[in-house]
Amino acid sequence: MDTDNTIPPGLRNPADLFFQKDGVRRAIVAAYWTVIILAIPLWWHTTSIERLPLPDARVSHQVSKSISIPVQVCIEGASEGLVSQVEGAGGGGYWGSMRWCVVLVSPALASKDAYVVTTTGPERVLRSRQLTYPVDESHHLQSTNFEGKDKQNRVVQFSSRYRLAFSLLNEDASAGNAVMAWNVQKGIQEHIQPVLDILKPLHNFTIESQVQYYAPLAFGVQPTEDRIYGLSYEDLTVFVNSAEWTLSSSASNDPVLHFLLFIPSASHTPLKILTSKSDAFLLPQWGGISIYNTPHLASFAHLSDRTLHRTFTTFSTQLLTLLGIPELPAGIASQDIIADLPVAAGRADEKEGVGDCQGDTGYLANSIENMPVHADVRDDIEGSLDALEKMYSTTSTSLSQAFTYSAEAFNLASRAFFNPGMLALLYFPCGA
Amino acid sequence: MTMTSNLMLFSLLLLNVVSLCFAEEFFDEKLTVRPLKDGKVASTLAFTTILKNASPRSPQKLHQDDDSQQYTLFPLALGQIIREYGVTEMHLSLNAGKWNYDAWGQPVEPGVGTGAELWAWIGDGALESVDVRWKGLRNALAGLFCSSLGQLDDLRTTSPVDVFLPEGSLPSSDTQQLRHASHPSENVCTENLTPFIKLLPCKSSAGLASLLNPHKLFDANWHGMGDEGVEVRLSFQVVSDPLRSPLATKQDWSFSTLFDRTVERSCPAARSSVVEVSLPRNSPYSISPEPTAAEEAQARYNVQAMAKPVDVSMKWLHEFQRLNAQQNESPATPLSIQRTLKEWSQSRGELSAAITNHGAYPVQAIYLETMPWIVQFYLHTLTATVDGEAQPSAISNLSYIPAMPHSRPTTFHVLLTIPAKSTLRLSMDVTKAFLRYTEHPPDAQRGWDLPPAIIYPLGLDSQPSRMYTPTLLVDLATPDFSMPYNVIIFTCTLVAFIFGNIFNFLTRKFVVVSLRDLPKERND
Amino acid sequence: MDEGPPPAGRSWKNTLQKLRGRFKPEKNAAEVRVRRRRAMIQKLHQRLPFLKVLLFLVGYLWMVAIPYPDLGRTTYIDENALQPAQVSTYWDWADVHNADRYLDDLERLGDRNASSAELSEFVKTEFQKSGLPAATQKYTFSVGSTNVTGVNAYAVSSSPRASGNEAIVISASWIRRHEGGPTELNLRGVSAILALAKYLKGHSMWAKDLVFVVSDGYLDGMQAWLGSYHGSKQNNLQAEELLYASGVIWNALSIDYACHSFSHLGVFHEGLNGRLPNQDLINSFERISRFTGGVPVVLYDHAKNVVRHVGYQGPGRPSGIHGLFHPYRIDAFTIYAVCAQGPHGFHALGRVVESTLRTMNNLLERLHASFFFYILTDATYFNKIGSYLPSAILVSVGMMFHGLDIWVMSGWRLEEQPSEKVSSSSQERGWVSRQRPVLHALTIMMATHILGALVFGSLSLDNWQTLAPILFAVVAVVPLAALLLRSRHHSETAPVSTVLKALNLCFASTIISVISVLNFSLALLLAIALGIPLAISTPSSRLVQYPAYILLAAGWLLFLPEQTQSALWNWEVLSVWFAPVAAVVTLLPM
Repeated sequence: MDTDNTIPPGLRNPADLFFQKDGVRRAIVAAYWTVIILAIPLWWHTTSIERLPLPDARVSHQVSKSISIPVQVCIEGASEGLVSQVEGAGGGGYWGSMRWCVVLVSPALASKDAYVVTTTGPERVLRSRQLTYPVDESHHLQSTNFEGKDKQNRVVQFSSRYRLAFSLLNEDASAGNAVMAWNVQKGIQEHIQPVLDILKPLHNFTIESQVQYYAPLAFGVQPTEDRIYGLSYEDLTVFVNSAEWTLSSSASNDPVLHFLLFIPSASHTPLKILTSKSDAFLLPQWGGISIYNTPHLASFAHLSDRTLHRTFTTFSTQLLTLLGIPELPAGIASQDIIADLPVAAGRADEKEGVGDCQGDTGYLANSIENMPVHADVRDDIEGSLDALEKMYSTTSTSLSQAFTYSAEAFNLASRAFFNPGMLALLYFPCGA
Repeated sequence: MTMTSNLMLFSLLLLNVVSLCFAEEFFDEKLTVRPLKDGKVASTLAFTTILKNASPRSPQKLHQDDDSQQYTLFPLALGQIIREYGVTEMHLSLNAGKWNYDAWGQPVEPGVGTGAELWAWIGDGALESVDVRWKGLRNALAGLFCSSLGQLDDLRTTSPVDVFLPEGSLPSSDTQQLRHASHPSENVCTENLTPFIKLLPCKSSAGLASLLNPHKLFDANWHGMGDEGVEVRLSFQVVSDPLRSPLATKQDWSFSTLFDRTVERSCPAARSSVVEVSLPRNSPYSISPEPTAAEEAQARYNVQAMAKPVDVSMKWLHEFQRLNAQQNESPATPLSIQRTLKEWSQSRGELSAAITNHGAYPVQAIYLETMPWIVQFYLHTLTATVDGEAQPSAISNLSYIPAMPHSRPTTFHVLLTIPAKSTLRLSMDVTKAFLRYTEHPPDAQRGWDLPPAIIYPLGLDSQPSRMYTPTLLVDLATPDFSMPYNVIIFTCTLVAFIFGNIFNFLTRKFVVVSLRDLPKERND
Repeated sequence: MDEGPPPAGRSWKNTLQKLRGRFKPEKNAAEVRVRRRRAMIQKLHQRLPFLKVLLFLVGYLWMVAIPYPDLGRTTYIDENALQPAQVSTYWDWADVHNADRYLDDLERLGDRNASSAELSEFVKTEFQKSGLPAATQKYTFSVGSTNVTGVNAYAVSSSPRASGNEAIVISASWIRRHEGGPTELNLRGVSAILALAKYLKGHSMWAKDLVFVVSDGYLDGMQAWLGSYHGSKQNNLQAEELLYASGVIWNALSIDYACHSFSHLGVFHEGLNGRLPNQDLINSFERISRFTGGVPVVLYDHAKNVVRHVGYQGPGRPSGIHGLFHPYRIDAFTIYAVCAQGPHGFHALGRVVESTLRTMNNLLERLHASFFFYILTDATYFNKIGSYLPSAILVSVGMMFHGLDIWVMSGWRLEEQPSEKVSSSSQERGWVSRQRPVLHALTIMMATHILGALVFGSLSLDNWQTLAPILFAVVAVVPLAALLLRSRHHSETAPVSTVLKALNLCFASTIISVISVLNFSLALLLAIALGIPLAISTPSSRLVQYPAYILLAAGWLLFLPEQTQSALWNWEVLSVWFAPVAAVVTLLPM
């Protein structure tokens, strides 16, 4: 600026150095500023966590909704009394966690999965969805209300795939009485397969079986008087010795239902359950166990057909209980009914499951501050909400349709909940 | 422990049509005890489960639901893994210690490389690629055996097909691919033995398996597990040293000294359970109890028939001559190998292997290096010398897949011709990688374990078996992780200094200042 | 940056002007700033002489103060994995008996002074008797015309369950450590090794291989063994390949035990070229010896002082065979049994060594905590790098200031008669710049270095002892050549000597400050040797000074023959770089 003073000869005037020109200097300074300003959004982007908003309101709304399943009943040759009775029952009731109500339809517009009641007939028969019975016994209709509410919630978490693991456990094979092998194929073919065939529309089953020769109990069994080794209720709860018995199978994530045939060693025979007469008991949501005391102390090459038969009938009933199929009133048994109920039940369970998953996801996201919520999580949640709504809409029209929707909703919700991306908290490296 | 397993799987059709009757599953157990010439004792327990009418799950069917699996003796947990990933043949070995070929000879189970080694033949043609299933297999086995097999990742996976030949017969229907990985710094201990025992029908509570006693086994000089055949073969090798204590003078051993256990009762599920003891040739001994059958060099016991408890023991008449064993004894194997890594700087080194042929005839052998990318070869420096003088002709059929930094290991594979009674020395310069700081292991200053090289002699005997060199430890350039902040401070200071100066010069305005009244100084 | 982006409009410009006015009230702040700066520089320059003296003084005083314990602190264990003295030892009297038996045999061999071949053969056989794979190694060094030959014996006890990637070396040399004095055999050390080998292999707790080495000679044997173990090439050495190899050696200890019994255990730790082992090792040994063996530990053999440390480290000669391990990044030290009438013997030694090995065995990684720079003033006291490094640095800074001062001065000269020269507009007497004959000065420096190299080269001839006086004479005469350079000195150029002195000072100070990190003791020595003399040397009154400087520069040729000899031997056999450095560097002053 103040260039009034004389520059001694031989020295150059700094003012006319090229980088001392005002323009150049301004440019330089400007360059610095531009870099800084441009850097800010980058910095912001790289250091911030993506947290997309989750539709909490919709979730809570859906959770609050309750569903009720209309059971279409079409009465042919209706008699007034019967209709009134049915409408009386029309209030419906609960089965499992699901409400149902009766809707009367005229034969003309009865859809294919309506229950048809015919009053003209000699005796009570139920064929597919066709209930025929004499008029005078009409009051019996009430008794076909299912009261199979799952009290000690033994029913397993609903899943479209199950693995059934059958195990023959010898407590101590070399100590005298043991069963070296069993014809598990036969047992399954005769007793389990029919049930599985019925349930095919609901579940896929994969079956595996093994034999173990040394499956010690985790607790000591004391003989009662008259030389009987008794299992108390507490014993039953800790009966499965998962440390020693290699029952768990690591290959897939499908829920496993275990069915164990336990053969006590010579030193523990006979082994009885004190609280009940039966030799079998059921561990809620885990599987069924049946104890077989060999008639006389000896090792058998394989299991006698009688025992096999008995064991597998037990297993099949245990299987039904675990899957939540109720016992029907005597004389009334129909594949379709059995098939329909778990659909509905499963859907109800799932609806709750979905609600939980979504709710939990939202809760997590809100409670943990720097947990990233990416697009995929949000999309999953919303997808499952949509599926739920579709389910509600289709409930009245088609059960199976609704079932597929609820399954979809459940899968999406759980996928969102277990999304690994949400675990990746943001860390800054601190040297080592 | 070494555990190799080679499984052939059932065809499900067979199982469902002809229901699998128990006659089709057999379980055999066998214990082989060999006194070694350096006074140690090698014992190998082999547990074999044979399955008839078995064939592997077709890869094309993998995406469909698997059919039911009914096993009586076969370990279900293993079967599920194998079927899940459609594996045709699989070998897993977990070893601790280093097998001394010169003194101990060829092991019964060839896979004795230190640490963990896993290789599998996997059928191709499934929806999921072979590599995806290989990854799944690794993780599943890691879960089953409580070992860190998950670390056998792509950084260590190679496919050396002509050294790791399938030992079962592969189905010709679809193409099979080999995946091999080894992890030398895997530590083997009790928590790996327990799941191993759980795979046996009689666990460790009856039969020969009851000899598997962790406390004793892990006091041994070397131990390993394995399995093999058209079947599952779980085997366990131990080398124990009856002469370890300076006071011990004789090579005597017995079940109770080797395993600290005896066979109390036989396993009812076993078809046969046999003990084989190889008898010393040239020194007087006594063995008890009386063998069921005895060939000239071997005593056989049928444990099931014998009175329990069974405690086979062997006593020597004379003291063991340590000096003779050291001096006038020829090596127990025709080849002996020495492999060294000379590191003369943080970035360079020389890898050299000396293979000595003790035999009277020249030997051809495949030499295989599967080296992680952290050590890379300078192939042009590869030299081969026989007894000192260079002999390039000793090397042939060289195949080399270079490493990819941070991803793929090197596969170096060469056919050697070793003249009779001479030493072939391969040597090659290597460069050591500079790692990202996140790639260093927690114990960074320990260095990196390098997997063993493998020698595969051809035409030595009927079926050639692999020989593993000892592993190596390489030091890479490692920052002092104990004080990272010094590094940060230094670098920041430097950057600040440079930036500050440049900034200052670029943005400062220079002006001429006249100092009239100032007395003249000497420094302007 | 008083200029933002270009101004937009007039109003904005005005406000900018105002702001500027606010920040610089008076018109030419630049001038004020320049004045202030000059004033400061002038003050500084006036105080410079005082400052220099102060730096030198503080530096030298600090050096003297280093041994003073209050400057240091007590030792501590930094690496947690070591866990010293935490194990129970099993070495008992039976093993002591073994050691005594070995000792008898060895003494018998020693009495009929058996050849090293026999001795090594004996050791090898004993190793093999205790069941270890053992072998011998012949080697030959050619130093000048003389050949040093010998035979090493070694055994590898591979660890039971580990991969054998890491190893610990336990070694003893046949000839116990000596400093030029008479040599005696390290028989008890060797028999201790033999007994330990027999005993240690009986345990299965070793996670690392144990390598037992009995090296021939004093230093040469171990040098040869290590060389071929690590495959380092040394062209004056022929050594056999090792038959048995093990993994990477992390730690090593050598035993030096000659007389019947000992009262203390001494620690020797200085290595080649002044490298030190990680201090954790020495500290844990000290604790183990105190608590497990009940033997007090001293530094060296009782005469613990820093001068001795400097004496070892400065010339970079190892204070024992442990020193040869350090170049291979192996932490090693020597356990030295201090002769006395008791009370301790093999029993205590064995237990201490066993426990020390167990401690080394505990290591999961190399000793890596930055614990390599220290001065032990006592077995339990040490100085951190921060508390001793400044001494040398201060001196070198002083030299640098002095040099720069002279450099600046040499660029100017006082004009008496008033003149209208082209130089800065000056009325009466003022400073006029003159040229500095830098080229001459550099030539002379180069010449001296070359001369130094020549002298060193001629020393590596065999009969250098006879050559020495001639060399001395040469060295004494050559500098006179510089006179010729000085003769034609006129007013436009500064005298060569001044420039030379300036450059010398700067050069020396740089060398000192660089070396002070590599090898502090050497830096210390250089600071003492070069600091003052270079500072006070003046071109005038040469008659007095010249001989003194010549003596300082080349006197060692005449008066310290054996030190020179050993330094040379170290250079050739162990490649210690003290000798060449000394020869080349210390010829500077003139």
